[in-house]
Amino acid sequence: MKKLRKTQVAAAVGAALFVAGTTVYAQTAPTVQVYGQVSRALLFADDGVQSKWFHVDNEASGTRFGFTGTGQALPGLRYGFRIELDLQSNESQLVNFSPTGPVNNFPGTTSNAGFNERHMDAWVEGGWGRVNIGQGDGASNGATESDLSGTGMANGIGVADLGGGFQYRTAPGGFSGTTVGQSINQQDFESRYDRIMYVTPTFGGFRAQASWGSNANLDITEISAWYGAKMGGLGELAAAVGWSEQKGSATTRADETIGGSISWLHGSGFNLTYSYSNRDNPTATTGAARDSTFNYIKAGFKRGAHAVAVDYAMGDDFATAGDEAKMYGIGYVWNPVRWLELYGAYKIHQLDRGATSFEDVTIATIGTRVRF
Amino acid sequence: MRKGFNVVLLAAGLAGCGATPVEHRNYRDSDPAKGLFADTTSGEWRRKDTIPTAAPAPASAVEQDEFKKWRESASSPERREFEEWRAWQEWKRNNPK
Repeated sequence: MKKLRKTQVAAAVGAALFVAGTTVYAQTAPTVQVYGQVSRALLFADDGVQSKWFHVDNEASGTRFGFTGTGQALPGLRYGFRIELDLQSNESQLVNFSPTGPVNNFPGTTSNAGFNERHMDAWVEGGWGRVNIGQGDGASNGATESDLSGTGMANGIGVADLGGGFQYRTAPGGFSGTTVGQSINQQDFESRYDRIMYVTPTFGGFRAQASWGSNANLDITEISAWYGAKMGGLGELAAAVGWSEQKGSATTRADETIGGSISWLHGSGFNLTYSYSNRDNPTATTGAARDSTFNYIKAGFKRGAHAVAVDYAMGDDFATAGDEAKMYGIGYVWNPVRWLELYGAYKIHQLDRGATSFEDVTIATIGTRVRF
Repeated sequence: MRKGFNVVLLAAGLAGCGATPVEHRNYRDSDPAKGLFADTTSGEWRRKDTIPTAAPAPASAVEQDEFKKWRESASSPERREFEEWRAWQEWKRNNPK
């Protein structure tokens, strides 16, 4: 009996914190829950000149912990909070090779122990929707990352999460000054910041979100629409579109991003995912304005505890106008129980810049995520 | 490309009309409901005054018999005399001359 009740309460806490809409929960007792995960991996990088294994924390979903709480203030009016901090050592998108050798000492100082604020969020919800206030996801955060393949930890849409800090080498072996992450990434809007956000109730699987806030003293506005449904024999679908604008300053232009993603999982396990984003780039007022564009496609197969997928991404005009970056990858995730993932991934990053030739950057990763 | 994407998204949305809504979680999120301790140990705290109290367990035959004997003795003249004597002793101890 006790076990069953805890299951119900845990499910209600999770759902209440993250599910938008009008759901009314029978459970009324205020609850607080602690949760988190450890996300570690071994990453091998080869930039054509140097190669090395690194111990990393997978940026796709790093080591973190948090607290959530929820309760019923009045009939039909629920409230709650979420506090979440990450604690990553050697983030997988930061390790790199430098002229003096491999750099794998992040954070470089231990004075703050690597803690980073992710969520400091309070919310209230009712039949009219939900309002969040505090540090948390902007309305469009994640809209380019719909992915039902089950391989997110190995080869997720964040293509620079693993090995994004490595520079391309020129043909003679020198550093190009352009990293993998600067040449291609999913441009997933404005991430997390201090904001107030409204989430509509869910209508037939659709919901909309709008947020307004500030990051680095610059105002941010975001709007997005989300869809999620099971369509019987047609399988399952997740999709989202978003828009964001960060106001400019004396030294930066307004930063506007538009994009979205769609992922389809058939009952057989076959799945397809596509992501697109376009962003004003660079944001500095110096230099010619240009748009950077990201396209990503993934095909995968998921059966039981196993998920495998191949993916391909293109990034145009990211570091400089005319740049063409490409990524080819394959990933596998074993998910034997809900709280454990073991994965392996292999990918190749390429960059073309006019007549300049760069060495490929090859990344191989094996790792695990354990949730508690 | 952008226009094509919007068309694909609209078509997918329309195709899904009448489907069962599902809330999808981003693979980056930490879902508390998927944790190792989510439903097995004390990963949560609840207010004590909202925890329902368990119904009292029925007394065994031996316990019922002992209670019956105690109740009968409580109403006996000897028991009342003893309790009055003990109360008087207690009063004297608290009120010394």
